[in-house]
Amino acid sequence: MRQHDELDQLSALMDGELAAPERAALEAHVVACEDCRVILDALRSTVAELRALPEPALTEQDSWALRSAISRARRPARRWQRLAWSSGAAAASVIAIVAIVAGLGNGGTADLASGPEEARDSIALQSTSQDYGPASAQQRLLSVAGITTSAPLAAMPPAAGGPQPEMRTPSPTGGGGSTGAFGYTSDSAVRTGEDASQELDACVSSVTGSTQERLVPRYYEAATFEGRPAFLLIFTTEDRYELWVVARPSCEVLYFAQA
Amino acid sequence: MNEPSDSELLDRFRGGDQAAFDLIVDRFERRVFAVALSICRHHEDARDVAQDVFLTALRSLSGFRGDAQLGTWFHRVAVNASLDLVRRRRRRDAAGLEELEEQPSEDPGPEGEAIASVRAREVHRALGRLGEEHRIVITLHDLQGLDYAQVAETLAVPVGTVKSRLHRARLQLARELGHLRESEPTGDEAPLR
Repeated sequence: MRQHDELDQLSALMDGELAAPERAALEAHVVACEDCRVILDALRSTVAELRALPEPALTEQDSWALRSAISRARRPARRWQRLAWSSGAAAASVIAIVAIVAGLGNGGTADLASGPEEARDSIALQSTSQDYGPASAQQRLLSVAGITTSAPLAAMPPAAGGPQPEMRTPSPTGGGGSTGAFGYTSDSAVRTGEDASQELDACVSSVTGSTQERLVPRYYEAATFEGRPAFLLIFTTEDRYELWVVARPSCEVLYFAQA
Repeated sequence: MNEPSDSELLDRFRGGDQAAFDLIVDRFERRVFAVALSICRHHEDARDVAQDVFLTALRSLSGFRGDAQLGTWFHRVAVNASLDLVRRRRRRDAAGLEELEEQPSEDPGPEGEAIASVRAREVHRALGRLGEEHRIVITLHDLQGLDYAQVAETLAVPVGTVKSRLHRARLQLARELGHLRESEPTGDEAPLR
């Protein structure tokens, strides 16, 4: 059997994935080429056997276990340990949140906040002036993950022009609040104390539930997402990063992406 | 009465209807499990992956506001979660840590227990001998019925990559299942993994 380029296209021909001109040309070739007909027949037989396989059976026990896990996850999450987010001048330490200035959505270097894997000196949780959208949120995720890629992430993009969910509570405002040039709200007031850490605690709990290993975010930031006050939370498994953008203080999930 | 569409179920779930999520689980659990089993080749691992996928969905689907297909999302998360688990398992094995009894890749897997057909077992063994990348595209396209564009979107790779992997995977299977003689060159010069 001689080598020729048409052989590589035979699966696509069989699957109807060729454009009309290519398909017509290849079909004409196959009529005249015994080698290609042999391959094509082999591919058809192989795929037929694959499609004849019975679907893997999910046992009743598996289904029950799945639904039990879902049921447990739906129960209100217990208050997660707040040791890492205790604020104020108490002996317990909190994790620093470093204000991220606008314009770092391009993944430029920044002193990014790390999760409370180790206790750090306390710095008050403060809102930032960054108003994220899906693209800049993905950039933040890639920056934290140290990934350079042009491939799309596994993400859930917002519907273009779709209705925005109503805010359940007013945006927190401080003494220095102002509207930025591009329509985002910059809250320059530093919000210290229990309120902010409780919000963060509640939202981490709602995201992680009580059954996942990754209870501790690798990175978190208080900012806005499409104009809504939000937390950006980035969790890691062994080799995957997950970005959760949740509204403050409702913890409603606004955006999710994986890298 | 017509069944609600995926987007209708999502809208209801976002509106607080937890029963809508239960219907989503009913609708997608078999395909999530099938994808996970194909990659993990281990029933308990596939079950754990399926739980992980739906718990992620429970927490994140309220933020699903776009035009992406819900099925594509489930496939993507299932593939990623399965690969995570396989790689963790591989690292544990490499570290020499005690591991649950693994089923070798040539074993048809627990689904083989329910398969009376000897030939079906052979097909499963041949699938197990494929490399992960090839087995995933075979699973998504030939077993799950996704087209090239959907597979490409699920795996975040170009359509050309899907076409190439699928063709090579099928050629390897065809040889193993006797539809092609080993001696027949197929234009596939690179060794199949």
